[in-house]
Amino acid sequence: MRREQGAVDTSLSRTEARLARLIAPTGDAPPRATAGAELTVDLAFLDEHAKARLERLFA
Amino acid sequence: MNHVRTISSPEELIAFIPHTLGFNPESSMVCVPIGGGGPTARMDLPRTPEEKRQFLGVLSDTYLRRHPTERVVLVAYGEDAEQCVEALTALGNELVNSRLPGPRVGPVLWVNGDEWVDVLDGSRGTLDAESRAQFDFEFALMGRVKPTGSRANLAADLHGNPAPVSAELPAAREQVGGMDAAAIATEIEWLGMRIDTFLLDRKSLADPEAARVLAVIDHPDARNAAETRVTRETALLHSEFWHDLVRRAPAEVRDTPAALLALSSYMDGRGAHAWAALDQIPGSHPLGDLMAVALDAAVHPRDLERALHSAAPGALMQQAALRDAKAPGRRAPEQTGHGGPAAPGVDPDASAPGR
Repeated sequence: MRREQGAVDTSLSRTEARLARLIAPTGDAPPRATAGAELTVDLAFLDEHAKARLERLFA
Repeated sequence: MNHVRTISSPEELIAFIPHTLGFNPESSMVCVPIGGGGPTARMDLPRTPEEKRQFLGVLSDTYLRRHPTERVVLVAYGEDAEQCVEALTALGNELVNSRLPGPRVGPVLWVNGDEWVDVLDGSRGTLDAESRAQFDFEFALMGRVKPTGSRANLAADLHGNPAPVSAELPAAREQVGGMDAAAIATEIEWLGMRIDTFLLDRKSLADPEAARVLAVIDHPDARNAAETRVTRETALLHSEFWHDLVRRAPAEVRDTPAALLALSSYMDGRGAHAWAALDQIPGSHPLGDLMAVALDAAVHPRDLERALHSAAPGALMQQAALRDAKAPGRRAPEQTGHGGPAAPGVDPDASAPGR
Protein backbone atom coordinates (compact mmCIF):
# COMPACT_ATOMS: atom_id res chain seq x y z
CA MET A 1 0.00 0.00 0.00
CA ARG A 2 1.40 3.35 -0.91
CA ARG A 3 0.12 6.41 0.88
CA GLU A 4 -1.04 9.72 -0.34
CA GLN A 5 1.42 12.51 0.25
CA GLY A 6 0.69 15.44 2.51
CA ALA A 7 -1.58 13.56 4.90
CA VAL A 8 -0.06 15.38 7.85
CA ASP A 9 -2.41 16.58 10.56
CA THR A 10 -2.17 18.69 13.69
CA SER A 11 -1.51 15.71 15.94
CA LEU A 12 2.12 15.52 14.87
CA SER A 13 4.52 15.02 17.71
CA ARG A 14 7.41 17.45 18.02
CA THR A 15 9.73 14.95 16.37
CA GLU A 16 7.28 14.31 13.57
CA ALA A 17 7.05 18.04 12.95
CA ARG A 18 10.82 18.11 12.50
CA LEU A 19 10.64 15.17 10.14
CA ALA A 20 7.95 16.95 8.15
CA ARG A 21 10.20 19.97 7.76
CA LEU A 22 13.05 17.75 6.61
CA ILE A 23 10.93 16.04 4.00
CA ALA A 24 9.09 19.10 2.76
CA PRO A 25 10.57 22.25 4.31
CA THR A 26 8.66 24.58 2.03
CA GLY A 27 5.40 22.72 2.26
CA ASP A 28 5.71 21.53 -1.31
CA ALA A 29 5.18 17.88 -2.06
CA PRO A 30 8.58 16.24 -2.35
CA PRO A 31 9.59 14.58 -5.58
CA ARG A 32 8.97 10.87 -5.52
CA ALA A 33 11.67 8.29 -5.97
CA THR A 34 9.12 5.89 -7.37
CA ALA A 35 7.21 6.64 -10.49
CA GLY A 36 4.12 4.63 -9.70
CA ALA A 37 2.37 2.31 -7.34
CA GLU A 38 3.07 -1.07 -8.87
CA LEU A 39 6.79 -1.34 -8.35
CA THR A 40 8.43 -0.55 -5.04
CA VAL A 41 12.12 0.09 -4.66
CA ASP A 42 13.64 -1.36 -1.51
CA LEU A 43 16.62 0.64 -0.35
CA ALA A 44 19.17 -0.76 2.05
CA PHE A 45 21.64 1.67 3.58
CA LEU A 46 24.68 -0.18 4.81
CA ASP A 47 26.17 0.47 8.20
CA GLU A 48 29.74 1.67 8.35
CA HIS A 49 31.16 -1.79 8.87
CA ALA A 50 29.44 -3.25 5.86
CA LYS A 51 30.21 -0.17 3.79
CA ALA A 52 33.89 -0.57 4.57
CA ARG A 53 33.82 -4.00 2.97
CA LEU A 54 32.38 -2.66 -0.24
CA GLU A 55 34.74 0.26 -0.42
CA ARG A 56 37.53 -2.29 -0.45
CA LEU A 57 35.80 -4.56 -2.92
CA PHE A 58 37.47 -3.18 -5.99
CA ALA A 59 40.36 -1.33 -4.38
CA MET B 1 34.05 -5.80 15.45
CA ASN B 2 37.44 -4.75 14.07
CA HIS B 3 37.91 -7.37 11.40
CA VAL B 4 36.97 -6.14 7.94
CA ARG B 5 37.14 -8.75 5.24
CA THR B 6 37.41 -7.76 1.62
CA ILE B 7 34.89 -9.26 -0.75
CA SER B 8 37.00 -10.99 -3.33
CA SER B 9 34.67 -12.75 -5.73
CA PRO B 10 31.18 -12.68 -7.25
CA GLU B 11 30.31 -15.58 -4.95
CA GLU B 12 31.08 -13.49 -1.91
CA LEU B 13 29.19 -10.50 -3.27
CA ILE B 14 26.14 -12.68 -3.95
CA ALA B 15 26.39 -14.22 -0.49
CA PHE B 16 26.60 -10.72 0.98
CA ILE B 17 23.49 -9.30 -0.72
CA PRO B 18 20.78 -11.15 1.31
CA HIS B 19 22.35 -9.86 4.50
CA THR B 20 22.25 -6.34 3.10
CA LEU B 21 18.59 -6.57 2.14
CA GLY B 22 17.45 -8.78 5.03
CA PHE B 23 15.87 -11.34 2.72
CA ASN B 24 16.66 -13.47 -0.32
CA PRO B 25 15.81 -11.63 -3.56
CA GLU B 26 13.73 -13.43 -6.18
CA SER B 27 12.96 -12.20 -9.71
CA SER B 28 14.69 -9.00 -8.75
CA MET B 29 17.30 -6.50 -9.81
CA VAL B 30 19.74 -5.59 -7.06
CA CYS B 31 22.07 -2.63 -7.50
CA VAL B 32 25.07 -2.47 -5.18
CA PRO B 33 26.89 0.90 -5.19
CA ILE B 34 30.62 1.11 -4.72
CA GLY B 35 31.66 4.47 -3.29
CA GLY B 36 29.46 7.45 -2.56
CA GLY B 37 27.58 6.06 0.42
CA GLY B 38 24.36 5.45 -1.45
CA PRO B 39 21.94 2.63 -0.83
CA THR B 40 21.70 -0.83 -2.26
CA ALA B 41 18.45 -0.91 -4.24
CA ARG B 42 16.17 -3.83 -5.07
CA MET B 43 13.24 -3.86 -7.44
CA ASP B 44 11.12 -6.55 -9.02
CA LEU B 45 12.16 -7.29 -12.59
CA PRO B 46 9.81 -5.51 -15.00
CA ARG B 47 7.29 -7.60 -16.94
CA THR B 48 5.56 -4.95 -19.05
CA PRO B 49 6.71 -1.85 -20.96
CA GLU B 50 5.12 0.36 -18.30
CA GLU B 51 6.88 -1.50 -15.50
CA LYS B 52 10.13 -1.24 -17.43
CA ARG B 53 9.68 2.52 -17.69
CA GLN B 54 9.14 2.74 -13.93
CA PHE B 55 12.01 0.37 -13.23
CA LEU B 56 14.49 2.41 -15.25
CA GLY B 57 13.13 5.70 -13.94
CA VAL B 58 13.35 4.78 -10.29
CA LEU B 59 16.79 3.20 -10.39
CA SER B 60 18.36 5.86 -12.59
CA ASP B 61 16.83 8.52 -10.33
CA THR B 62 18.40 6.77 -7.34
CA TYR B 63 21.93 6.61 -8.73
CA LEU B 64 22.04 9.61 -11.06
CA ARG B 65 20.29 12.19 -8.88
CA ARG B 66 19.59 11.21 -5.30
CA HIS B 67 22.60 9.09 -4.38
CA PRO B 68 25.34 9.50 -7.00
CA THR B 69 28.03 6.88 -6.72
CA GLU B 70 31.27 6.06 -8.44
CA ARG B 71 30.30 2.59 -9.50
CA VAL B 72 27.33 0.24 -9.44
CA VAL B 73 27.31 -3.54 -9.56
CA LEU B 74 24.14 -4.93 -11.16
CA VAL B 75 22.81 -8.34 -10.14
CA ALA B 76 19.64 -9.80 -11.69
CA TYR B 77 17.99 -12.75 -9.96
CA GLY B 78 15.67 -15.08 -11.83
CA GLU B 79 15.21 -18.21 -13.89
CA ASP B 80 14.37 -16.37 -17.12
CA ALA B 81 17.70 -15.58 -18.78
CA GLU B 82 16.18 -13.34 -21.43
CA GLN B 83 14.26 -11.27 -18.87
CA CYS B 84 17.30 -10.91 -16.64
CA VAL B 85 19.77 -10.01 -19.38
CA GLU B 86 17.34 -7.57 -20.96
CA ALA B 87 16.82 -5.81 -17.62
CA LEU B 88 20.57 -5.72 -16.95
CA THR B 89 21.33 -4.30 -20.38
CA ALA B 90 18.57 -1.70 -20.26
CA LEU B 91 19.53 -0.48 -16.80
CA GLY B 92 23.24 -0.46 -17.60
CA ASN B 93 22.61 1.61 -20.71
CA GLU B 94 20.30 3.96 -18.81
CA LEU B 95 22.98 4.66 -16.22
CA VAL B 96 25.92 4.92 -18.62
CA ASN B 97 24.23 6.90 -21.39
CA SER B 98 22.49 9.48 -19.23
CA ARG B 99 23.24 13.14 -19.81
CA LEU B 100 23.82 13.39 -16.06
CA PRO B 101 27.13 12.35 -14.50
CA GLY B 102 26.72 8.66 -13.92
CA PRO B 103 28.53 5.74 -12.35
CA ARG B 104 30.64 3.12 -14.00
CA VAL B 105 28.67 -0.08 -14.29
CA GLY B 106 30.03 -3.53 -13.57
CA PRO B 107 30.27 -6.36 -12.92
CA VAL B 108 26.88 -7.26 -14.38
CA LEU B 109 25.70 -10.60 -13.03
CA TRP B 110 22.77 -12.92 -13.67
CA VAL B 111 22.04 -15.23 -10.74
CA ASN B 112 19.85 -18.29 -11.18
CA GLY B 113 19.67 -20.35 -8.02
CA ASP B 114 23.22 -21.12 -7.03
CA GLU B 115 24.62 -20.36 -10.49
CA TRP B 116 25.93 -16.99 -11.62
CA VAL B 117 27.10 -15.60 -14.94
CA ASP B 118 28.89 -12.35 -15.66
CA VAL B 119 27.01 -11.28 -18.78
CA LEU B 120 29.83 -8.98 -19.87
CA ASP B 121 32.73 -11.40 -19.98
CA GLY B 122 30.95 -14.75 -19.85
CA SER B 123 32.66 -15.94 -16.69
CA ARG B 124 30.48 -18.10 -14.49
CA GLY B 125 30.49 -19.98 -11.24
CA THR B 126 28.52 -21.61 -8.46
CA LEU B 127 27.81 -20.20 -5.03
CA ASP B 128 29.70 -22.13 -2.43
CA ALA B 129 28.63 -22.98 1.08
CA GLU B 130 31.82 -21.53 2.49
CA SER B 131 31.06 -18.00 1.25
CA ARG B 132 27.55 -18.14 2.68
CA ALA B 133 28.80 -19.50 5.99
CA GLN B 134 31.40 -16.76 6.32
CA PHE B 135 28.84 -14.01 5.97
CA ASP B 136 26.28 -15.79 8.13
CA PHE B 137 28.90 -15.95 10.85
CA GLU B 138 30.07 -12.37 10.53
CA PHE B 139 26.58 -10.92 10.53
CA ALA B 140 25.58 -13.15 13.46
CA LEU B 141 28.42 -11.53 15.40
CA MET B 142 26.79 -8.18 14.64
CA GLY B 143 23.50 -9.44 16.07
CA ARG B 144 21.86 -9.89 12.67
CA VAL B 145 19.49 -12.73 12.01
CA LYS B 146 20.35 -14.89 9.03
CA PRO B 147 17.98 -14.05 6.15
CA THR B 148 16.05 -17.21 5.34
CA GLY B 149 12.91 -16.07 3.56
CA SER B 150 11.83 -13.99 0.62
CA ARG B 151 10.49 -10.43 0.70
CA ALA B 152 6.94 -11.78 1.07
CA ASN B 153 7.99 -13.38 4.33
CA LEU B 154 8.67 -9.95 5.84
CA ALA B 155 4.94 -9.18 5.92
CA ALA B 156 3.96 -12.64 7.07
CA ASP B 157 6.39 -12.32 9.95
CA LEU B 158 4.48 -9.31 11.27
CA HIS B 159 1.44 -11.35 12.20
CA GLY B 160 1.42 -13.13 15.55
CA ASN B 161 -1.23 -13.99 18.11
CA PRO B 162 -2.95 -10.85 19.48
CA ALA B 163 -5.26 -12.70 21.87
CA PRO B 164 -3.18 -12.52 25.08
CA VAL B 165 -2.54 -8.77 24.79
CA SER B 166 -6.11 -8.18 23.61
CA ALA B 167 -7.35 -9.64 26.89
CA GLU B 168 -5.29 -7.10 28.83
CA LEU B 169 -6.01 -4.10 26.64
CA PRO B 170 -9.45 -2.94 27.89
CA ALA B 171 -8.20 -2.44 31.44
CA ALA B 172 -5.07 -0.67 30.23
CA ARG B 173 -7.04 1.66 27.98
CA GLU B 174 -9.53 2.41 30.71
CA GLN B 175 -6.71 3.33 33.05
CA VAL B 176 -5.08 5.67 30.53
CA GLY B 177 -8.45 7.13 29.61
CA GLY B 178 -8.94 8.24 33.19
CA MET B 179 -5.59 9.99 33.50
CA ASP B 180 -5.14 13.74 33.74
CA ALA B 181 -2.27 15.52 32.01
CA ALA B 182 0.16 14.97 34.86
CA ALA B 183 -0.63 11.28 35.02
CA ILE B 184 -0.24 10.95 31.26
CA ALA B 185 3.17 12.59 31.54
CA THR B 186 4.14 10.09 34.21
CA GLU B 187 2.87 7.23 32.05
CA ILE B 188 4.97 8.47 29.14
CA GLU B 189 8.00 8.61 31.43
CA TRP B 190 7.35 4.96 32.24
CA LEU B 191 7.10 4.18 28.54
CA GLY B 192 10.49 5.73 27.90
CA MET B 193 12.06 3.83 30.75
CA ARG B 194 10.48 0.58 29.51
CA ILE B 195 11.98 1.08 26.08
CA ASP B 196 15.34 1.87 27.64
CA THR B 197 15.14 -1.32 29.69
CA PHE B 198 14.44 -3.35 26.56
CA LEU B 199 17.49 -1.89 24.87
CA LEU B 200 19.54 -3.34 27.70
CA ASP B 201 17.93 -6.74 28.26
CA ARG B 202 16.06 -7.42 24.97
CA LYS B 203 13.40 -9.29 26.95
CA SER B 204 9.94 -9.32 25.44
CA LEU B 205 7.28 -7.39 27.35
CA ALA B 206 4.81 -9.32 29.47
CA ASP B 207 1.24 -9.12 28.18
CA PRO B 208 0.07 -6.49 30.73
CA GLU B 209 3.12 -4.36 29.93
CA ALA B 210 2.52 -4.67 26.21
CA ALA B 211 -1.10 -3.59 26.70
CA ARG B 212 0.06 -0.66 28.81
CA VAL B 213 2.43 0.50 26.05
CA LEU B 214 -0.25 0.12 23.39
CA ALA B 215 -2.81 2.02 25.49
CA VAL B 216 -0.68 5.17 25.60
CA ILE B 217 1.45 5.04 22.46
CA ASP B 218 -1.07 6.85 20.25
CA HIS B 219 -0.58 10.02 22.31
CA PRO B 220 1.69 12.43 20.37
CA ASP B 221 3.96 12.94 23.38
CA ALA B 222 4.26 9.17 23.80
CA ARG B 223 5.19 8.79 20.15
CA ASN B 224 7.67 11.61 20.65
CA ALA B 225 9.28 9.78 23.56
CA ALA B 226 9.66 6.68 21.40
CA GLU B 227 10.84 8.54 18.29
CA THR B 228 13.50 10.62 20.00
CA ARG B 229 15.12 7.50 21.43
CA VAL B 230 15.86 6.02 18.02
CA THR B 231 19.39 6.49 16.71
CA ARG B 232 21.05 4.69 13.85
CA GLU B 233 23.18 2.88 16.40
CA THR B 234 20.19 1.62 18.40
CA ALA B 235 17.68 1.33 15.56
CA LEU B 236 17.97 -2.44 15.28
CA LEU B 237 17.01 -2.86 18.94
CA HIS B 238 14.12 -0.43 18.62
CA SER B 239 12.89 -2.34 15.58
CA GLU B 240 12.96 -5.55 17.63
CA PHE B 241 10.85 -3.86 20.32
CA TRP B 242 8.21 -2.59 17.89
CA HIS B 243 8.27 -5.72 15.74
CA ASP B 244 7.30 -7.76 18.79
CA LEU B 245 4.45 -5.38 19.58
CA VAL B 246 3.16 -5.28 16.01
CA ARG B 247 2.96 -9.07 16.09
CA ARG B 248 1.05 -9.08 19.38
CA ALA B 249 -1.12 -5.97 19.04
CA PRO B 250 -4.86 -6.16 18.33
CA ALA B 251 -5.85 -4.41 15.11
CA GLU B 252 -7.25 -1.30 16.81
CA VAL B 253 -3.90 -0.37 18.38
CA ARG B 254 -1.51 -1.69 15.74
CA ASP B 255 -0.94 1.37 13.56
CA THR B 256 1.44 3.33 15.78
CA PRO B 257 3.68 0.35 16.61
CA ALA B 258 3.80 -0.35 12.87
CA ALA B 259 4.77 3.24 12.12
CA LEU B 260 7.48 3.13 14.79
CA LEU B 261 8.68 -0.16 13.34
CA ALA B 262 8.92 1.53 9.95
CA LEU B 263 10.91 4.40 11.45
CA SER B 264 13.33 2.17 13.32
CA SER B 265 13.75 -0.27 10.43
CA TYR B 266 14.54 2.52 8.00
CA MET B 267 16.91 4.17 10.48
CA ASP B 268 18.65 0.79 10.58
CA GLY B 269 18.94 0.98 6.81
CA ARG B 270 16.33 -1.64 5.92
CA GLY B 271 13.90 -0.10 3.48
CA ALA B 272 12.03 -3.30 2.63
CA HIS B 273 11.28 -3.93 6.29
CA ALA B 274 10.04 -0.36 6.62
CA TRP B 275 7.71 -0.82 3.65
CA ALA B 276 6.42 -4.08 5.09
CA ALA B 277 5.61 -2.28 8.35
CA LEU B 278 3.86 0.60 6.58
CA ASP B 279 1.78 -1.86 4.62
CA GLN B 280 0.26 -2.97 7.94
CA ILE B 281 -1.38 0.46 8.40
CA PRO B 282 -4.71 0.53 6.57
CA GLY B 283 -5.34 4.29 6.77
CA SER B 284 -3.61 7.58 7.41
CA HIS B 285 -1.22 7.88 10.32
CA PRO B 286 0.91 10.93 11.23
CA LEU B 287 4.23 9.12 11.46
CA GLY B 288 3.31 6.45 8.91
CA ASP B 289 2.52 9.04 6.28
CA LEU B 290 5.80 10.85 6.93
CA MET B 291 7.76 7.62 6.67
CA ALA B 292 6.07 6.73 3.39
CA VAL B 293 7.14 10.08 1.95
CA ALA B 294 10.67 9.64 3.34
CA LEU B 295 10.95 6.20 1.74
CA ASP B 296 9.54 7.41 -1.55
CA ALA B 297 11.99 10.30 -1.56
CA ALA B 298 14.90 7.99 -0.61
CA VAL B 299 15.87 10.27 2.29
CA HIS B 300 19.10 8.98 3.77
CA PRO B 301 18.67 7.56 7.32
CA ARG B 302 21.46 9.80 8.56
CA ASP B 303 19.35 12.81 7.57
CA LEU B 304 16.36 11.34 9.38
CA GLU B 305 18.55 10.90 12.42
CA ARG B 306 19.62 14.53 12.29
CA ALA B 307 15.99 15.60 12.04
CA LEU B 308 15.03 13.42 14.99
CA HIS B 309 17.71 14.92 17.18
CA SER B 310 18.24 18.39 15.75
CA ALA B 311 16.68 21.59 17.02
CA ALA B 312 16.97 23.28 13.65
CA PRO B 313 16.56 20.75 10.89
CA GLY B 314 15.18 23.15 8.35
CA ALA B 315 18.54 23.45 6.66
CA LEU B 316 18.89 19.71 6.21
CA MET B 317 16.98 19.60 2.98
CA GLN B 318 19.21 22.33 1.60
CA GLN B 319 22.27 20.37 2.67
CA ALA B 320 20.89 17.25 1.05
CA ALA B 321 20.16 19.19 -2.11
CA LEU B 322 23.72 20.49 -2.16
CA ARG B 323 25.08 16.98 -1.69
CA ASP B 324 22.91 15.68 -4.49
CA ALA B 325 24.18 18.42 -6.76
CA LYS B 326 27.77 17.28 -6.20
CA ALA B 327 27.69 14.23 -8.38
CA PRO B 328 30.96 12.39 -8.86
CA GLY B 329 32.79 13.09 -12.06
CA ARG B 330 31.27 11.31 -14.98
CA ARG B 331 33.21 8.38 -16.30
CA ALA B 332 33.51 8.00 -20.01
CA PRO B 333 30.69 5.83 -21.33
CA GLU B 334 32.05 2.36 -21.80
CA GLN B 335 30.01 0.46 -24.30
CA THR B 336 30.50 -3.10 -25.31
CA GLY B 337 30.58 -3.94 -28.95
CA HIS B 338 27.15 -5.57 -28.62
CA GLY B 339 25.49 -2.68 -26.88
CA GLY B 340 26.01 -3.98 -23.34
CA PRO B 341 26.10 -1.68 -20.38
CA ALA B 342 29.84 -1.53 -19.82
CA ALA B 343 33.08 -2.56 -21.36
CA PRO B 344 35.26 -4.78 -19.21
CA GLY B 345 37.97 -4.57 -21.79
CA VAL B 346 38.32 -0.86 -21.15
CA ASP B 347 37.92 -1.11 -17.39
CA PRO B 348 40.29 -3.72 -16.00
CA ASP B 349 38.33 -3.94 -12.75
CA ALA B 350 34.92 -4.45 -14.25
CA SER B 351 34.88 -8.20 -14.40
CA ALA B 352 37.30 -8.87 -11.63
CA PRO B 353 35.68 -8.27 -8.27
CA GLY B 354 38.14 -8.20 -5.46
CA ARG B 355 40.97 -6.78 -7.36
